[in-house]
Amino acid sequence: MGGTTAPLAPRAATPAALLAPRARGRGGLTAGLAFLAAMVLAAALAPLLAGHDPLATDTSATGLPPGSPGHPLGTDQLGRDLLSRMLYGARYSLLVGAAAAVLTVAAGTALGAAAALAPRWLDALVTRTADALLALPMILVALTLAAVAGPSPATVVLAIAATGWMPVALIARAEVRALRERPFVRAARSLGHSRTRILLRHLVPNALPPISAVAAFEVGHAILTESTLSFLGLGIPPNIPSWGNMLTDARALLLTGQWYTVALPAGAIVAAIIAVNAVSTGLERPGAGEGRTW
Amino acid sequence: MIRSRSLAAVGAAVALIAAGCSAQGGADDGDTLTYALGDEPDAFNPALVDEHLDPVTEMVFRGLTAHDADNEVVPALAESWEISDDERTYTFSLRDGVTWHDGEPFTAADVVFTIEAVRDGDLPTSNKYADVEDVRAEGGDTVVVELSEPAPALLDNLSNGILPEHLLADKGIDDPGFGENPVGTGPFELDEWKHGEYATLSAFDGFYGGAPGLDGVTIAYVPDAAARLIRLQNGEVDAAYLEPSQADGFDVDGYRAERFPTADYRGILFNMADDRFADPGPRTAMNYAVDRDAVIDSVLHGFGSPADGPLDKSGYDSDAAEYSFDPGRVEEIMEDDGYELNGDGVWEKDGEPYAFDLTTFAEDGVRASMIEVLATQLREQGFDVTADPQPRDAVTWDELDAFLIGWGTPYDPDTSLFGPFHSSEALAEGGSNYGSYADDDADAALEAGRSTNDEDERADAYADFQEAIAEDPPYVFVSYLDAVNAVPENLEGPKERTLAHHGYGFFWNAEEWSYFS
Repeated sequence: MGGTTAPLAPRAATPAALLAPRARGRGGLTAGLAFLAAMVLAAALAPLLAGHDPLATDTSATGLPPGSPGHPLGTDQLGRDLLSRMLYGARYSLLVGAAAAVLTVAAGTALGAAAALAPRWLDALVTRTADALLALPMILVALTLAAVAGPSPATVVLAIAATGWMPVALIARAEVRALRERPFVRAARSLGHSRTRILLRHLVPNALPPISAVAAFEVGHAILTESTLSFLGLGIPPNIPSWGNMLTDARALLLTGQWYTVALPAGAIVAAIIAVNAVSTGLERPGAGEGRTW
Repeated sequence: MIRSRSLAAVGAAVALIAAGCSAQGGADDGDTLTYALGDEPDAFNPALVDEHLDPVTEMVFRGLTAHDADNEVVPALAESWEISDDERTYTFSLRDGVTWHDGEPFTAADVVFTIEAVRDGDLPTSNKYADVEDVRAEGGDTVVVELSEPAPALLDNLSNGILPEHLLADKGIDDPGFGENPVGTGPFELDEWKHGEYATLSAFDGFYGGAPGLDGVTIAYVPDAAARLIRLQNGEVDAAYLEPSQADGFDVDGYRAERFPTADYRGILFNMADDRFADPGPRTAMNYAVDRDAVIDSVLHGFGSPADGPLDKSGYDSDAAEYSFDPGRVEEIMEDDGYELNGDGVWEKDGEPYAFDLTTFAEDGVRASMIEVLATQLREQGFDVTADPQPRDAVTWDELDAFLIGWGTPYDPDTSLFGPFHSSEALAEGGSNYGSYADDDADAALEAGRSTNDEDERADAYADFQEAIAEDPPYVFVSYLDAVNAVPENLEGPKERTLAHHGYGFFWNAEEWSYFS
């Protein structure tokens, strides 16, 4: 996040200060994008790369460690090939994670920005609703939603968004409120720009850095929440591999020495989160928060 | 507001810590045992559950009869009994000087009350006493039971706890308050039940069999298997029910694993209302398509034994069916039955591939794993089976194709056969024959088996039953489970016997348990 979280003190506009974060961000951006692209590609090509049916058990090859012949990442307790499960699992996890995160961030930003600029009653409505939802157990809200909408991956995405938009909205609201009185916004206002134009061109883009940090976190949150909901029968069936389901399955094995059944899905989730984080950091503009977004 | 909230949180934390300490007991003080278990019942009332009693209900209550290590019926609250020649009149002589945990004397009136209230109460247990025409007290210590027809399972059924008339006569036998604060005649009395956490019991000094060896037993409810093992390793509990994967190579200092067989089996039930399953051929073939040893080795880590039928652990077991993994036999049966393997390697008849979903309770890790392995094994033999675990609340019996079910009793066979396999107990009739299995020969044999006390006649009847279900298999029988419990090294008393469903019954002789040092 670098120095962009301290927007109140105008940064010294030396060439070095402008270039340094850019160079650092670009490297992270490229690496993050490349990594995510590789993950998406691997997930898309799962049927070609896997070599095994991710659901087929093999009772003659249970609990094999990584590096076993025919099973590069080993097998689980029922002899299912872990590489196949990781690849097929990536399809659900990345899809649900990305869709839920995009929806969460979009809904949260829109509601937060609206609350910051809207009449007091709407502001109160949004913030009080967010507070109320934050106080409720996430599972309760998600269960209610699933009972109404019926179990499906779409329900999972909706449930995650419905229970995850509040922090994004509160951050967006705070950020937009802070930016509203900044000189560059006042300048835009005095130039006669419309409220909508100021909101879309100045306020929201400049509020994005802290939001993008939360967004990266939301991807991980979404992948994990997906497994919880799926385990409760609200989304992806618990026997279909997703990283979250694999983690749930493997949790009991932490004590019995088969660490890799936990480490593989957990590592993939962490790697995905870091990559998304690197991308979101890389996308930051050095002048963000200073009105230099365009 | 914030202050009061944090105060409340601190208060709750202190209460939790205090509860944790009091629930710990442990081998240190030598006289209490804390046992971690996954399942928590809704109430501690033996009138509301069948013979698969949870440990608390088992220790708080006593029936007229009980079971010994061989699961034979032995006297408990009844000292002895006489059966008339026509097997319709039972005369029980009750034990003298038995008191309830609240100090009231136990009398014949309690027995009459319990039997009548259960029979007339429209409870899950009501059919246990359906044949009881009349039950009366003769004096304070004799009870006479008149039956409309012989009921060989009666003595078994009377091992279910007797309930106190003086507490329940007005409120009814299913009083929820009583289920929270039960009063029985067993060796331990309930002190406190904190839902979702634990139930603490202390020794009842007035127990008719003498004071128990332990001063108290606490049952801690820990649904998560990994958490149970962690608590055991941390010394928070002294004993725990172990999952097969944990029992495999169990080695925690200061503890030993007790492995008991159970009569609890797993089998694939078919929804017979569905035309696909009408033909017994594929059901027979699938019994040969399943590699039971592989299932036991992989899912149960060896803690189980192959199942051929519902009576393998009973004295009535016959060799009508001897299933083994035999792909050749599968092929033979299916081809004789007019099926052909299609291009996908799936058996097909009249253009219809043999395909179905195999469901089970997703919460039950062992069952959920088992259906994955079974689905793979059946697919390899040409049955297109898809594993489809469902949460317990989402299971609708009349809509599913097939289900990995669990049944079995170590006691009288009637209690665990008539319900699941007799056509009068079909799902539509509100019975526990969830697959609506109906076979005339099986029906006749089950009726014969429950109509007499004569051992030879019953043996013949249950042999006929096993013959009938070998011809027309209701299930693909898979495996019996072993129950493994970790207990402290210095606890003596747990004695092997064939346990009931879910391994219940481990505490059957808890009054004899004690620590040695």
